Amino acid sequence: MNAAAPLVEAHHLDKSYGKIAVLHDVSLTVAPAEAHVVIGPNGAGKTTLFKVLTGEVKANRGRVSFKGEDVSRLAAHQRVHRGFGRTFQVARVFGKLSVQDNLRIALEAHRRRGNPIGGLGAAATREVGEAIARLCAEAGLERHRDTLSGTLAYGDRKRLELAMVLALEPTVLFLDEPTAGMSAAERRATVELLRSVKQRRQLSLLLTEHDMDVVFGLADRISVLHYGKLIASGTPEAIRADARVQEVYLGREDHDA
Amino acid sequence: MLLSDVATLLVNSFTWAMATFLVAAGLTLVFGTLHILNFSHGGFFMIGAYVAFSLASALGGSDSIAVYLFGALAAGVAIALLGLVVDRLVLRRLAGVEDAYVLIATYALLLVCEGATKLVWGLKYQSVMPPPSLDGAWALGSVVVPRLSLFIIAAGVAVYVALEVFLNRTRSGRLVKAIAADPWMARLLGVNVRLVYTATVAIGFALAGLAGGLLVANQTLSPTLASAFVIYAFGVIIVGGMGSISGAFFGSILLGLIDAIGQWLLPGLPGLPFFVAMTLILLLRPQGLMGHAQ
Amino acid sequence: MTHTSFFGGSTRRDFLVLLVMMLLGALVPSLLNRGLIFIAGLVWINAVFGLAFNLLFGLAGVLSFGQAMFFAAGAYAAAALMQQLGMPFVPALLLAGAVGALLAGAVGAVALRRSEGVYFAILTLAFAEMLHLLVANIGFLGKNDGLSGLARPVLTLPGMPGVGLDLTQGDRFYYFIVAACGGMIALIRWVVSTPFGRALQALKQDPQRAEFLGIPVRLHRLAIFVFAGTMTALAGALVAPWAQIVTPELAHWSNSTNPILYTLLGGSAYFWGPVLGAVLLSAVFYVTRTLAGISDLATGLLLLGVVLALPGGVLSLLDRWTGRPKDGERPQ
Repeated sequence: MNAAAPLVEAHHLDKSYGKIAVLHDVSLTVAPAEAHVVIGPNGAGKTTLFKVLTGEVKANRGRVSFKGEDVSRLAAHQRVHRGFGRTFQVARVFGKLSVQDNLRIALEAHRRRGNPIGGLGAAATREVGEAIARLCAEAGLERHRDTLSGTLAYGDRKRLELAMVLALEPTVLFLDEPTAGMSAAERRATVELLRSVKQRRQLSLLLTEHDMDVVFGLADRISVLHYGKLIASGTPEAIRADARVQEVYLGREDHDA
Repeated sequence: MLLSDVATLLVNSFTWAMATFLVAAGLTLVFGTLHILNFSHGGFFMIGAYVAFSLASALGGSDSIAVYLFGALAAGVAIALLGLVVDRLVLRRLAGVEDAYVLIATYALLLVCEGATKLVWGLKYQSVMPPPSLDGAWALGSVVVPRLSLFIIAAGVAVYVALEVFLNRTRSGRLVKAIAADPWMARLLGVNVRLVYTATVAIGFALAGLAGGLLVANQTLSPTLASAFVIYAFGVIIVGGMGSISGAFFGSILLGLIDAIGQWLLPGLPGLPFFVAMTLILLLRPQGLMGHAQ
Repeated sequence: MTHTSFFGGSTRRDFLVLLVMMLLGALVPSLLNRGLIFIAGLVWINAVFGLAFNLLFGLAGVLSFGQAMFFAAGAYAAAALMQQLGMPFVPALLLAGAVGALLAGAVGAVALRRSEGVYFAILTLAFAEMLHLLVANIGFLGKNDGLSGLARPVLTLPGMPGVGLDLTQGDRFYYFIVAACGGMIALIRWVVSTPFGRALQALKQDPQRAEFLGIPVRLHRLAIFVFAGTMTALAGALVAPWAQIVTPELAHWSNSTNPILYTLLGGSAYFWGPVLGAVLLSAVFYVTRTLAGISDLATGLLLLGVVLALPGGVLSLLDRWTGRPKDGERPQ
C-alpha cells in the first residue's frame, strides 16, 4: 500500500433522520487501490454512510472529499462523473432491456457526461460497440447478449451490474453487501472477481459486508461502525485484536450467562 | 379599506373555504386510506348537486331548511350507493395497478360523470332557490352577511367536527386511521381491511353527494361544476397535506383568504392567486401544512 | 438498439411507414369531402399531440395532465402574432414553438422538483388551469370568444414580396399540415433513437440506477418536457389557420385528456400507438358529435375500458395475435 494522498475521505459526518442520529462524527479514508470494508451490526449506519458518501443523501454536518476536492455539494450523478461507481445490495439493472442494451446505456452515459443534447458521433459509436463486446466477454455474458436482463439468473445479473458500473471507468467502487444472499461457492467466486477487478484496474473498493470470510479475504483495511460511531479502523490484524470490536461482536463473557 | 369591506371579504373567503372543504373532505379521506387520488370525486359531487336539484324540483322547491337538509342527505345516500357500484366495477380493479394508470382511470371516470350529467340533465344552466329562511341576508351594522353563506360555513364546520370526532374518538374511525397507516399490519391482526376500504369509499362518496346537496343553492348548476371544484379541491388537499382532514380544513381557509385578498388586489383574474399560492406552498413545503415529509 | 428498444421497430422501418402515411395523407383531398378533409387535418395535428405526450409518458415515464396548456399556448401565440401583429405565418409558427418551449421550461423547472408522479400530475393540471383562466380573461386574446376570423396564410419568402405560396385556396393548407406534421413526427422518431432517448427509457425503469450511472435524471426529464412542449405548441399553432378560430376550450383540461386517450388506446409501448389512437378516436368523435354529453361519455368509458381491460392498447392485441415478441419478450 502506498502512503499517497487518500482517494475518498469522510470528515466528521453527522446524519440524523428527525431525532434519530444515524451517523455520529464518522471519519474515514480510503486510499487509492485499497479495498476498504466497513463492518458493523445491523442498524449501525453502514447503508446511511454509503448514501452520504455516494451523494444519495446529504449529511447534516461534515464533508466528503474525493482526490482532495470537496464533493459534499455534488449530486450523485456528478460524483459518478468524477469517478464513483455504485452497486446495490440487490443487483439493479434495467430489467426490460437486453444485456447489451444495459451496457450500451452505461457506456453512452459515460461518454455523454450528463449532457442531454448531442449524440455521439460515428467513432464513439463504434467504440461503444467494441466496448460492449469486451465487457460481455469479461463478465462471462456473451451467450446472453440479447437476453432480457430481467430474466437473467441472479449471479449473471450481479455480474452485469458490475460490468455496467465498470463501463463508467470509475476510480472507486462502492459495493453494498456484494455477496448478500449468495452460496459459499458464489461468495468465493465474487471475492476472486472483485480482487482481480481491483488489481487490473487499480480501483479502490469501499464495501459493506457481513460475511467475515469475505471481509478478511478482501480487505486491506477495515472500519467498524457501531450505533453510528466509528469505533475502530485499521488493518485486518489490528481489527481482529481490537478489544472494543471484540466486545461489540462477541459480547462480554458475563452477558452469555 | 372599510371595516365592512374587510368583513365582506372574510365572509366570502370563509364561505368559499367551507364550500371547498366540503368537497375536499371526502377526497382526502379516500386518498388517506386507499392511497387512490380519485379525480372523479368532483364529478360525483356534481351529480349529488343535480340529484338534490331534481328532488327539489319534484317536491316543488325547498320550503324549509329541513327539506333542504333532507335533499342534501338524500343526495349523500344516493351518491354513496352509486359509489359502492363504482367501487365494485372500477376501484377494486385498480388495486394492483400502477399509479399512473390509476390516475388516468379516475380521470376517465370524471369524464364519464360529466357526460352522464349532460345526457340526463342537459346543458342548460339550472338553479335551486334556497329555502326562505336561508334566503336574503342579515345586516350587522354596515356589514351585509348572506344567510346562505352562514349556513355553508356552519355546514363546513359541522362536517369537520363530525369527521374529526369519527376518526379520532370512535372505534371504527380509529380503525380507518390504523388501516390507512399500515394495512398489512391490520390484515395480520385479522381486520377485514376490504370491508373498511369499502366503507371508507362509501363515506367518501357520501360526503361528495352531501356537499353537492348542501351547496346546490349556492351556485348555478351546469355540467362544468365538476371541473371548477375538482381543481380547487386538489389544491386544498395538497396544501393541507394529502390524507389529512384537518389539513384540508385549514388549507381551505388559508387558500380562501389568499385568493380573496388576491382578488381584491388584482380583480379581473379570478382564481389566479389561488394557483400561485398553491404552487408556492408546494415548492416551499411539498408535503403540505400537515403532511409528513416523505 | 435491438428488439428491446422502446418501439420494437427499427428507425428505418418507421421512417418508411411515415413516408407511406404521408403519401396516403396526400391522397385524402381527392377522395374525401370537405368536412372529412378538415377532420383529417385535425387527425395529423392530434397525432403529433399524442406522440409528444407519449414521449413523456411512454418513453420517459412522466405523466402530465396539462399538455393542453402548450397546445393552447401555441395556438394563441400563432393567432395573436398573425392577426394582431401581422406576422407572416412561418415566423409566427416558429415563434409559437418557442413560446411552448419557454412555457415548458418554466413549468418543468417548478413541477419536476418532486419526483413523485402524483404531485407532478396535479401541478401540470394546475398550471394548465392557470393558463386556461388567463386565456379566457385577457382582453386582447378575445376572452371567452377567443380569436376568430383567422386567415389561411400565404407563405412568403423574406425580402421577396412577389414570390409566395398561396395556401388560402381550397384545401391547400391541408398539404402544409401533412408536410409539417410529417416533419415533426420524423423529428420525434429521431429523438427516440438517440442516446438521449435511450437514457430516458432507462431512467423510466430505474431512475436511481440511471442516476448512479451518471445520468442527471431531473435534467433529462426537463429536457424531454421542453421538447414535448415545443412539439405540442407547434401542433397547436397549426390549428389556428386550419380551424380559423382559437378559443379557451383548447386550454381546458379535457383537451389534456385527448393525447392520453390516443396513447392508451393505441398502445403506449409502441411508437405508432398515439397515431393509431388519434385516427380511431377522431372516428369516434365524428360519429358521436351530435348528441351532447355522448362524446364525453364515450371518451371516458373508452379510456376507462382501456385502462382496466387493455392497458397495452390496440397494438398490443396485434402483437398477441401475431405472436411477435414485443419489448424483447422471448417468443413462446
